[in-house]
Amino acid sequence: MDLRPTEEQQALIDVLHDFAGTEIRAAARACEEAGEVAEPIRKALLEMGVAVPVSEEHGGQGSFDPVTSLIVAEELAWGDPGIAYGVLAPGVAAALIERAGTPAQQAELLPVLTAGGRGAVALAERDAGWDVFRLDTVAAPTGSGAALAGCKYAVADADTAAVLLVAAGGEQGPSLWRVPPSGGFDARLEDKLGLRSARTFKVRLDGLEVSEGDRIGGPGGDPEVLTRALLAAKLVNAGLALGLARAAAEYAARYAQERTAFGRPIGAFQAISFKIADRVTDLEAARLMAWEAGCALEARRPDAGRSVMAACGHAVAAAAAASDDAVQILGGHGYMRDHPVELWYRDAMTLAALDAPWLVGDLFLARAYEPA
Amino acid sequence: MIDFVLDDRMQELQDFLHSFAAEELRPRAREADLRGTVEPGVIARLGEMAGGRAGIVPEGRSDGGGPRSDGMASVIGNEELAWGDAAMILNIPGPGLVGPSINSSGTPDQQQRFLLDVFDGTQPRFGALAVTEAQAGSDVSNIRTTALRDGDAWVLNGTKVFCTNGARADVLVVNATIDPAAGRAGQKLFVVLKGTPGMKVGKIEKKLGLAASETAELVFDGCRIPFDHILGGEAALRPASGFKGTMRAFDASRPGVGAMAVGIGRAAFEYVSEWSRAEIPRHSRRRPFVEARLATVERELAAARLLCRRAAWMADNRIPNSKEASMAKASGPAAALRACTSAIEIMGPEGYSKEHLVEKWFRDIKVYDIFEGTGQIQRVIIARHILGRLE
Repeated sequence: MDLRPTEEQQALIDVLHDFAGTEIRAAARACEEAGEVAEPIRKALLEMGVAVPVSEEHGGQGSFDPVTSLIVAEELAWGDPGIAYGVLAPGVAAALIERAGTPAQQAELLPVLTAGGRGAVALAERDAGWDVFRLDTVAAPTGSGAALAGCKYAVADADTAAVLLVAAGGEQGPSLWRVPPSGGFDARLEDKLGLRSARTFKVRLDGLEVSEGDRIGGPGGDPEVLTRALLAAKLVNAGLALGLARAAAEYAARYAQERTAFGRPIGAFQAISFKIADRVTDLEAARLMAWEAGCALEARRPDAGRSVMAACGHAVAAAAAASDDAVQILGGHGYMRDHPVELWYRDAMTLAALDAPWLVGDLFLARAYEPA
Repeated sequence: MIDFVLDDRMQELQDFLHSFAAEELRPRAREADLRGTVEPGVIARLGEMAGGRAGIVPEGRSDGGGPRSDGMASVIGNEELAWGDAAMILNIPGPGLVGPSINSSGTPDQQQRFLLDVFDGTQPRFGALAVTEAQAGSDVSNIRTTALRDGDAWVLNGTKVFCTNGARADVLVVNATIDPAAGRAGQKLFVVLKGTPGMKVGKIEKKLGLAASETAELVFDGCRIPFDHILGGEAALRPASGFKGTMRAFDASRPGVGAMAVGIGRAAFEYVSEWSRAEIPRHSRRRPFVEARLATVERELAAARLLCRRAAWMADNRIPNSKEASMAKASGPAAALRACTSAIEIMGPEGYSKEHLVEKWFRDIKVYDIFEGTGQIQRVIIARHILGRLE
């Protein structure tokens, strides 16, 4: 067992933390107002090789293993969760293609993304959330390919994406399809409670025909490889939640040190300090679970799915609790837009609605207790 | 590089202790609980079987001499053993909590004399840590037991309570103050060996759980011990070294205690999962609720387990872990308590019946949120690390 990040990971943490603390924090409210990530931030992270991390072979600066992706997502989301969600979407699509795509698909699609083209994976569903094992979207065989039908949520830049992937469920496990950028589907801009800096769409597919060549991994693709890649995509949510939880817990802790009531800093009262202790404990446990899940994916452990589901559940729960307590600790000030905690509170609930830790994560785990 | 795989030594330890727990501890759990004690013959046998195993004699010394922290072995081992039975584990001969105390505060000579020479595996021997007093539980700084110098000896006076294995201990580590006016700075740790005149065993407690574990009151009345029984030797006479020593020992032992709690919680969780699969019909309206609750329990136990392992890993790598040890100690019992209450609720009237062990696990687990620093004290420590000392 070892819990030390590698030197490369530590260097990445340092650079991104600095960037998040200056550029992202400063831009957070403006991006939220605009409903999209500011172009300079997107560009800077693309140039750093962080937004679309693919190997040199495919025109990138190196790909990330799942633990590194978690670290990146955490630092960016610590800056702002909505910006992180929006910025990382093309990279999540790129990682799926690099992990599960055919060489031809990699050669065609990855350079588009490394050059700054928008991309996203349409994964989240109303009932399945991000449960990659139980997606309701159908890919009905047509002979030459499939007809996709279903409804997806929180799809970043679906109207302009050069590379849009759609995940479908089925008896043989999930499948992933590239849909033409020209459309053929209904994309409606989401006006959301939180994560507003991410320009996301509700995408409805009504029998959209795709060819066998659009199937990521091709007809002979290994379903296990694809499943692991989708789980890695889901695990990024845990990283976002961790960054959010950490931002909220830190902000509340600082406020509790400075704000006085009844002649003492409010952090001297255990009603406040115990909340902070519990939230930081939850957050650190969730980070360990997420890292462990990342290692399980990397090692191709057969139970990696359970680890990912549990980790996402714990991380999103930690984010929800941390942001809730942060608003509570700041009291009336927490309710006002002068402080970022109300933003994180909305972001956490939005992430929870998407990832649905209790209804999706825990119910996935729960299947193990069903009678044989 | 971030990696959670257990090395071969740990894996082997885990496998060994799991079968030991399943074969030797679990089958004896109910009888020991009803009798409130474990027969000497069984204790001797447990000692023989456990001899030399790192998880049972957690702190050893590397060939190089200095104390070697083996926190990971204690975390891995304690989870398996407590999964077998939490009360039986406290009856396995060994230094117990005096191991971390002597290792973190004792001189090399004291480690040799009070740990290696005594716990040599030839016969069942016990260690016990005597800290708590009736008026000083979580507030360790409030103890009244004194150790006053008299020539080349210390004279101990005072009464300690809730001391696990206190009556049978071969080696006791007692905290006492050499200067009642000095507060924490006056507190030091002393070794008292079995049979020292002036030490009497008082009441043996009857408890909610861990019935088969001995919990004793110890009365020190003019108890004389040699001067060099002060842990740390002369250096310990410097102000403030003793209280910190006690606290350091807690940093070393808390992850292991958290892991024991996880073991009890896992026992209850596994038992009720099996029971539910067999006993609750697939289409029962209760099923989805039961399954969801079990999933939450599983997730919380997994989180607590990782916090325990992290704290142990830090200790083994000489990274200060006071905050993390408290997180482990706060989380293990909380997750396990939820596992045990869930097990009883799910099983309903079957859950409170002594036909099953879940009611016992429920009674046993509660004290894990109390001893070795209550859950509240752990939060005080965690918060202090985050917020600093606020007045």
